[in-house]
Amino acid sequence: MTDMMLDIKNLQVSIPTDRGTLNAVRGVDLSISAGKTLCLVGESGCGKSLTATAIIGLLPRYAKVTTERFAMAGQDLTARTEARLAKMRGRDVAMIFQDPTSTLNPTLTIGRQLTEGVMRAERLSRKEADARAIEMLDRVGIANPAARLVQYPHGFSGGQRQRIMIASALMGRPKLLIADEPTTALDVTIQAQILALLDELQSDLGLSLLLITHDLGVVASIADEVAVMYAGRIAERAPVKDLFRAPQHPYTRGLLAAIPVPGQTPRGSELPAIPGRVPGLVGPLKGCAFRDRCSFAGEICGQDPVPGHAPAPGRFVECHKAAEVAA
Amino acid sequence: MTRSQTPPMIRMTGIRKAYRLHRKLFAPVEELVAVNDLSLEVAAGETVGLVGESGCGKSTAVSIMLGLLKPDRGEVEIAGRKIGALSVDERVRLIQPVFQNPNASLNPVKRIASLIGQPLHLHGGENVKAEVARMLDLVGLPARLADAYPGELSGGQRQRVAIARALILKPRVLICDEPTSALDVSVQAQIINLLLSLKSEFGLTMVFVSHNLAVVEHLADRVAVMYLGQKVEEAPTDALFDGAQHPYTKALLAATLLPDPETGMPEQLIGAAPADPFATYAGCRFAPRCREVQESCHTTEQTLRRLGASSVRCTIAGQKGRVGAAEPKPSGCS
Repeated sequence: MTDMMLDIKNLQVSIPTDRGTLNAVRGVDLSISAGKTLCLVGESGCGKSLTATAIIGLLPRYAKVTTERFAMAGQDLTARTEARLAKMRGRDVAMIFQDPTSTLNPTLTIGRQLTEGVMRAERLSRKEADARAIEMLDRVGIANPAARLVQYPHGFSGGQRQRIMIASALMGRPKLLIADEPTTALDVTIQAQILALLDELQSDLGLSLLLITHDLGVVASIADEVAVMYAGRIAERAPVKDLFRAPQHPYTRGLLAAIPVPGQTPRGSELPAIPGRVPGLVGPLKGCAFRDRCSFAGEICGQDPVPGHAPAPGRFVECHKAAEVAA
Repeated sequence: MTRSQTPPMIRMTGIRKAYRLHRKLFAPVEELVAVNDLSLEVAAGETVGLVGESGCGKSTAVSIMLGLLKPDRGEVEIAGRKIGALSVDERVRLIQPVFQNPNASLNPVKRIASLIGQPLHLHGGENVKAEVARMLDLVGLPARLADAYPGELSGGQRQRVAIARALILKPRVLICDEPTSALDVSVQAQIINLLLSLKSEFGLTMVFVSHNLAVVEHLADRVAVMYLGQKVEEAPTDALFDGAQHPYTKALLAATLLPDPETGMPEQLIGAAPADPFATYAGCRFAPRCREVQESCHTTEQTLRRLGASSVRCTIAGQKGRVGAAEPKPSGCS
């Protein structure tokens, strides 16, 4: 398993709340091969961002994180101490977030924000760190990078700020980049540019990319593999073309059907919406979390455990009625 | 665009709105022209999509349409009457908004029944309670939610509340400003279905503002594309999606991501330079980012002209093709 950049088994994240324990991530298995892009897709509250934040170890202390296995870049990190995580962050794995306006500090120059981490972690001199920053800004397509190091974030547009965030994530030359909704706050034309940039960086630098999104259009354009998350678990996982061509989980099917496609969905027709809403995750959950919204649901769906199937190599679907859905 | 004896439900003519602001602290006041020379007509029962990227002026246009903002120049008529001449009471019974974020547009300390009933209550309606119950049913919310607070509802349910509240005065026009952008796709489909059924049931006239072209394509009869305060193209939905004329519309369409892995990375038909709303342009405002730009574009003032089924603000559009190669002439609505 040396070509696995990330290999996680049974990740659980629970958060104590006033109403009881919120089991936000309920046993997630994830793996990403070196140089590949895995898209983690799901709707608000499904636990996709918490999964990512748990991987990089940035969850607050009160969140309880457990894993059966956690390996990154060939290292076994199952016993995750803060010191080991801190060492890994920025070097092996880096993360970019949704809104570059709130993640960049408005009172510090771009140069200062880019170099702070590597000067500490790699003990680079100011000069070396600046040279690295210029290299990375150039990489992400910021024109005239040397001159722009002394500028503040407000001097850049939204798309440029996201480029700067990407440059900042690349400063430690990570092997795995986690991007949490990196284009959601951007206009469509800028989104296209940022996705193209991520794609290009990935093939140039051999990065592995874990991209979290709710947008199946983004998934279709950039993913190698897709994991569909629902209520804290992976409902389905498949290579991108297989997932869109033949979705096997009723939830995946529902998601794909609910999106109007210009030229295909008849104008003004009723869209096949998924009825109901996501279940609450406070306390234990019995059986399949999707069964209340599922048209295939039967009595068996209330039973634990929900069986996982591998309908084809590289595919996984967790559903009591998998055979019936596939038929 | 039917120009029969009945006036259009909404008619905006030559709207201009500028904000005067300081770009930086202590910098001199500058003018940001948010909407410039915007004319738009929406026939009764029609749905018009208004699309464009952040800062293109679509929300300013909406505020002006609703009578919430006074334009510097130009006229807005709703159902044939100037909006300035309407009393508030008359106005709210004609035109109502649904905004993007129901979390922000609903007062969190009021119960759902009171939120939905408020417009009726304020404008002297009777049977508020019965009407609220009817509205809840109409937008597909269970009656028991009448006593709930917005915080107890999901995002989709809150948007249903916002729609119920907008419709309780039985307006003829519904202005939806990104009503599904804050929602998940499965819920987005529910809200789109609801808007479609309400529209056909009540013959509503709708203006649908969105940056999501797929949603606009699904709902709108006609689409107007805005760029930096100007309408750059307007066409019937099919014509726009089958053969966009303006380079900016083409770029928008190319950047729209489809849920189809065979299409690969979106094509980029637009320069990386960001749009500058403060800049003054002698020629085309899109020229600095345009892939089809010609020298004359920077100096020639662009006016709307007819090209095939579209009305386009671009002098070079259609030059190479044969479609509608008619000589450029100023369109009736510019």
